[in-house]
Amino acid sequence: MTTKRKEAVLAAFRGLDDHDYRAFTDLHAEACTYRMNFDTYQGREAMRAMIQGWFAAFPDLRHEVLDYVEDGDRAAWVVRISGTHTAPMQTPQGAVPATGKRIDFRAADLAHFDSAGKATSWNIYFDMLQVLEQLGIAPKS
Amino acid sequence: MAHARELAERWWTLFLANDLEGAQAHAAPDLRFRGPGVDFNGADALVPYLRTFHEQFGDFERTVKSVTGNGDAAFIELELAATHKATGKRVRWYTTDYVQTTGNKIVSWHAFWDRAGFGGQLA
Repeated sequence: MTTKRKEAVLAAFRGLDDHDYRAFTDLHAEACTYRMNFDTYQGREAMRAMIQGWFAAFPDLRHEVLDYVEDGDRAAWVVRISGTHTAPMQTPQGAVPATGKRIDFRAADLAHFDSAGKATSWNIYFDMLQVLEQLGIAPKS
Repeated sequence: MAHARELAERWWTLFLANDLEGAQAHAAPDLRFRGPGVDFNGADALVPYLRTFHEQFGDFERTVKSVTGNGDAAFIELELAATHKATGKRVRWYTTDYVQTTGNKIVSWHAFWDRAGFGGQLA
Protein backbone atom coordinates (compact mmCIF):
# COMPACT_ATOMS: atom_id res chain seq x y z
CA MET A 1 0.00 0.00 0.00
CA THR A 2 1.32 3.41 -0.89
CA THR A 3 0.53 5.99 1.77
CA LYS A 4 0.68 9.73 1.39
CA ARG A 5 3.92 9.75 3.38
CA LYS A 6 5.49 7.01 1.32
CA GLU A 7 4.58 8.83 -1.88
CA ALA A 8 6.21 11.97 -0.46
CA VAL A 9 9.39 10.01 0.31
CA LEU A 10 9.45 8.46 -3.16
CA ALA A 11 8.87 11.86 -4.78
CA ALA A 12 11.69 13.37 -2.72
CA PHE A 13 14.08 10.69 -3.97
CA ARG A 14 12.91 11.16 -7.56
CA GLY A 15 13.66 14.85 -7.19
CA LEU A 16 17.03 14.12 -5.65
CA ASP A 17 18.00 11.81 -8.51
CA ASP A 18 17.05 14.59 -10.93
CA HIS A 19 19.36 16.94 -8.97
CA ASP A 20 16.33 18.86 -7.71
CA TYR A 21 17.69 19.24 -4.19
CA ARG A 22 14.84 21.48 -3.13
CA ALA A 23 12.36 18.68 -3.83
CA PHE A 24 14.31 16.61 -1.33
CA THR A 25 14.93 19.24 1.32
CA ASP A 26 11.33 20.45 1.15
CA LEU A 27 10.36 17.19 2.82
CA HIS A 28 12.48 18.20 5.80
CA ALA A 29 11.81 20.67 8.60
CA GLU A 30 14.17 23.64 8.67
CA ALA A 31 15.89 22.34 11.82
CA CYS A 32 15.92 18.72 10.76
CA THR A 33 18.72 16.64 12.20
CA TYR A 34 20.42 14.35 9.73
CA ARG A 35 22.70 11.53 10.83
CA MET A 36 24.89 9.55 8.46
CA ASN A 37 26.59 6.74 10.36
CA PHE A 38 28.82 8.59 12.84
CA ASP A 39 28.28 12.11 11.51
CA THR A 40 25.45 14.50 12.38
CA TYR A 41 24.29 17.46 10.26
CA GLN A 42 22.11 20.10 11.89
CA GLY A 43 19.59 21.85 9.65
CA ARG A 44 18.50 21.07 6.14
CA GLU A 45 21.02 23.39 4.52
CA ALA A 46 23.89 21.46 6.12
CA MET A 47 22.22 18.27 4.93
CA ARG A 48 21.80 19.69 1.45
CA ALA A 49 25.50 20.61 1.23
CA MET A 50 26.50 17.11 2.29
CA ILE A 51 24.17 15.48 -0.26
CA GLN A 52 25.35 17.78 -3.03
CA GLY A 53 28.88 16.64 -2.23
CA TRP A 54 27.85 13.07 -2.97
CA PHE A 55 26.17 14.08 -6.23
CA ALA A 56 29.26 16.07 -7.24
CA ALA A 57 31.32 12.88 -6.99
CA PHE A 58 28.57 10.58 -8.33
CA PRO A 59 26.44 12.68 -10.75
CA ASP A 60 24.32 9.67 -11.79
CA LEU A 61 23.52 8.65 -8.21
CA ARG A 62 20.23 6.77 -7.94
CA HIS A 63 18.02 5.85 -4.98
CA GLU A 64 15.62 2.94 -5.08
CA VAL A 65 13.38 2.38 -2.06
CA LEU A 66 13.07 -1.38 -1.56
CA ASP A 67 11.27 -2.04 1.73
CA TYR A 68 9.18 0.53 3.55
CA VAL A 69 7.58 0.46 7.00
CA GLU A 70 5.40 3.15 8.54
CA ASP A 71 4.63 3.38 12.24
CA GLY A 72 2.76 6.43 13.51
CA ASP A 73 4.95 9.48 13.07
CA ARG A 74 7.90 7.34 12.01
CA ALA A 75 8.87 5.70 8.75
CA ALA A 76 11.85 3.56 7.79
CA TRP A 77 12.98 1.92 4.62
CA VAL A 78 15.83 0.14 2.88
CA VAL A 79 17.24 2.14 0.00
CA ARG A 80 19.53 0.86 -2.73
CA ILE A 81 22.02 3.52 -3.75
CA SER A 82 24.08 3.26 -6.93
CA GLY A 83 26.20 5.55 -9.04
CA THR A 84 29.46 6.12 -10.90
CA HIS A 85 32.43 7.86 -9.34
CA THR A 86 33.36 10.46 -11.97
CA ALA A 87 34.62 13.37 -9.86
CA PRO A 88 36.62 13.77 -6.62
CA MET A 89 34.87 12.59 -3.47
CA GLN A 90 35.47 14.54 -0.28
CA THR A 91 36.16 12.42 2.77
CA PRO A 92 37.43 13.22 6.28
CA GLN A 93 40.78 11.85 5.09
CA GLY A 94 40.88 14.17 2.06
CA ALA A 95 39.65 14.16 -1.53
CA VAL A 96 39.54 10.85 -3.38
CA PRO A 97 40.15 11.34 -7.13
CA ALA A 98 37.58 9.94 -9.54
CA THR A 99 37.97 6.19 -10.01
CA GLY A 100 35.33 5.64 -12.70
CA LYS A 101 34.02 2.75 -10.63
CA ARG A 102 30.45 1.94 -9.74
CA ILE A 103 29.07 1.82 -6.24
CA ASP A 104 25.98 -0.18 -5.40
CA PHE A 105 24.98 -0.65 -1.79
CA ARG A 106 22.01 -0.71 0.55
CA ALA A 107 21.28 1.60 3.44
CA ALA A 108 18.65 1.85 6.15
CA ASP A 109 16.85 5.18 6.43
CA LEU A 110 14.86 6.12 9.53
CA ALA A 111 12.79 9.28 9.72
CA HIS A 112 10.51 11.03 12.17
CA PHE A 113 7.85 13.38 10.84
CA ASP A 114 6.00 16.26 12.48
CA SER A 115 2.29 16.95 12.16
CA ALA A 116 2.93 19.00 9.00
CA GLY A 117 4.52 15.97 7.35
CA LYS A 118 8.06 17.38 7.53
CA ALA A 119 10.94 15.21 8.64
CA THR A 120 12.43 16.40 11.92
CA SER A 121 15.09 13.70 11.93
CA TRP A 122 16.46 11.53 9.17
CA ASN A 123 19.14 8.95 9.90
CA ILE A 124 20.91 6.78 7.39
CA TYR A 125 23.14 3.82 8.18
CA PHE A 126 25.27 1.85 5.78
CA ASP A 127 28.68 0.25 5.48
CA MET A 128 31.09 2.91 4.24
CA LEU A 129 33.81 0.27 4.06
CA GLN A 130 31.78 -1.54 1.40
CA VAL A 131 31.65 1.70 -0.62
CA LEU A 132 35.42 2.17 -0.26
CA GLU A 133 35.95 -1.45 -1.32
CA GLN A 134 33.82 -0.95 -4.42
CA LEU A 135 35.88 2.13 -5.30
CA GLY A 136 39.08 0.13 -4.86
CA ILE A 137 40.21 2.44 -2.07
CA ALA A 138 40.02 -0.21 0.64
CA PRO A 139 41.09 -3.82 0.07
CA LYS A 140 38.26 -6.34 -0.15
CA SER A 141 37.79 -8.01 3.21
CA MET B 1 2.01 -14.36 17.27
CA ALA B 2 4.91 -12.13 18.28
CA HIS B 3 5.64 -9.00 16.32
CA ALA B 4 9.00 -8.46 14.67
CA ARG B 5 9.95 -5.82 17.23
CA GLU B 6 9.29 -8.24 20.11
CA LEU B 7 11.24 -11.08 18.54
CA ALA B 8 14.13 -8.76 17.82
CA GLU B 9 14.13 -7.59 21.42
CA ARG B 10 14.20 -11.19 22.67
CA TRP B 11 16.99 -11.99 20.23
CA TRP B 12 19.10 -9.07 21.44
CA THR B 13 18.54 -9.96 25.10
CA LEU B 14 19.82 -13.47 24.43
CA PHE B 15 22.76 -12.22 22.37
CA LEU B 16 23.85 -9.84 25.13
CA ALA B 17 23.60 -12.71 27.62
CA ASN B 18 25.84 -14.74 25.28
CA ASP B 19 23.05 -17.29 24.89
CA LEU B 20 23.68 -17.68 21.17
CA GLU B 21 21.81 -20.96 20.82
CA GLY B 22 18.84 -19.27 22.47
CA ALA B 23 19.07 -16.46 19.95
CA GLN B 24 19.30 -18.95 17.11
CA ALA B 25 16.13 -20.67 18.34
CA HIS B 26 14.18 -17.56 17.36
CA ALA B 27 15.37 -17.87 13.76
CA ALA B 28 13.67 -19.88 11.03
CA PRO B 29 15.88 -22.67 9.63
CA ASP B 30 16.13 -20.84 6.32
CA LEU B 31 16.96 -17.47 7.90
CA ARG B 32 18.53 -14.92 5.54
CA PHE B 33 21.15 -12.92 7.40
CA ARG B 34 22.88 -9.91 5.89
CA GLY B 35 25.30 -7.43 7.36
CA PRO B 36 28.52 -5.64 6.53
CA GLY B 37 30.76 -8.22 4.86
CA VAL B 38 28.41 -11.11 5.57
CA ASP B 39 25.48 -12.66 3.73
CA PHE B 40 24.29 -16.18 4.45
CA ASN B 41 21.25 -18.40 4.46
CA GLY B 42 20.49 -20.80 7.28
CA ALA B 43 20.15 -20.41 11.02
CA ASP B 44 22.98 -22.90 11.56
CA ALA B 45 25.49 -20.29 10.43
CA LEU B 46 24.24 -17.77 12.96
CA VAL B 47 25.97 -19.01 16.10
CA PRO B 48 29.48 -19.19 14.60
CA TYR B 49 29.05 -15.68 13.22
CA LEU B 50 27.77 -14.21 16.46
CA ARG B 51 30.38 -16.01 18.51
CA THR B 52 33.13 -13.97 16.87
CA PHE B 53 31.71 -10.82 18.46
CA HIS B 54 31.76 -12.32 21.94
CA GLU B 55 35.23 -13.71 21.36
CA GLN B 56 36.60 -10.30 20.44
CA PHE B 57 34.45 -7.96 22.50
CA GLY B 58 32.95 -7.80 25.96
CA ASP B 59 30.97 -5.53 28.23
CA PHE B 60 28.35 -4.83 25.57
CA GLU B 61 26.04 -1.87 26.08
CA ARG B 62 22.95 -1.31 23.99
CA THR B 63 20.70 1.73 23.75
CA VAL B 64 17.55 1.60 21.62
CA LYS B 65 17.29 4.89 19.73
CA SER B 66 14.10 4.18 17.81
CA VAL B 67 11.81 1.41 16.68
CA THR B 68 9.71 1.57 13.53
CA GLY B 69 7.61 -1.53 13.31
CA ASN B 70 4.51 -2.76 11.64
CA GLY B 71 3.57 -6.35 12.40
CA ASP B 72 6.04 -8.68 10.77
CA ALA B 73 8.64 -6.05 9.88
CA ALA B 74 10.60 -3.69 12.09
CA PHE B 75 13.58 -1.35 11.93
CA ILE B 76 15.44 -1.09 15.24
CA GLU B 77 17.97 1.75 15.55
CA LEU B 78 20.62 1.11 18.17
CA GLU B 79 23.65 2.72 19.72
CA LEU B 80 26.12 0.07 20.81
CA ALA B 81 29.29 0.06 22.83
CA ALA B 82 31.71 -2.72 23.64
CA THR B 83 35.25 -3.23 24.86
CA HIS B 84 37.78 -4.77 22.50
CA LYS B 85 39.39 -7.55 24.51
CA ALA B 86 42.73 -7.44 22.69
CA THR B 87 43.35 -3.70 23.13
CA GLY B 88 41.02 -2.72 25.93
CA LYS B 89 39.61 0.02 23.71
CA ARG B 90 36.00 1.02 24.15
CA VAL B 91 34.21 1.36 20.81
CA ARG B 92 30.83 2.95 20.08
CA TRP B 93 28.82 2.59 16.93
CA TYR B 94 25.34 2.86 15.49
CA THR B 95 23.44 0.11 13.80
CA THR B 96 20.00 -0.49 12.39
CA ASP B 97 18.51 -3.97 12.26
CA TYR B 98 15.79 -4.59 9.72
CA VAL B 99 13.97 -7.68 10.96
CA GLN B 100 11.25 -9.62 9.18
CA THR B 101 9.26 -12.42 10.79
CA THR B 102 6.76 -15.09 9.89
CA GLY B 103 4.72 -16.43 12.77
CA ASN B 104 7.09 -16.65 15.72
CA LYS B 105 10.30 -16.95 13.74
CA ILE B 106 12.74 -14.45 12.33
CA VAL B 107 13.08 -15.12 8.59
CA SER B 108 15.30 -12.20 7.63
CA TRP B 109 17.76 -10.04 9.54
CA HIS B 110 19.63 -7.24 7.81
CA ALA B 111 22.10 -5.27 9.93
CA PHE B 112 23.30 -1.88 8.70
CA TRP B 113 26.45 -0.48 10.29
CA ASP B 114 29.68 1.09 9.20
CA ARG B 115 32.80 -1.05 9.47
CA ALA B 116 34.99 1.90 8.47
CA GLY B 117 33.98 4.04 11.43
CA PHE B 118 33.94 1.02 13.71
CA GLY B 119 37.37 -0.24 12.71
CA GLY B 120 38.82 3.26 12.83
CA GLN B 121 38.29 3.30 16.58
CA LEU B 122 40.49 0.24 16.96
CA ALA B 123 43.37 1.58 14.87
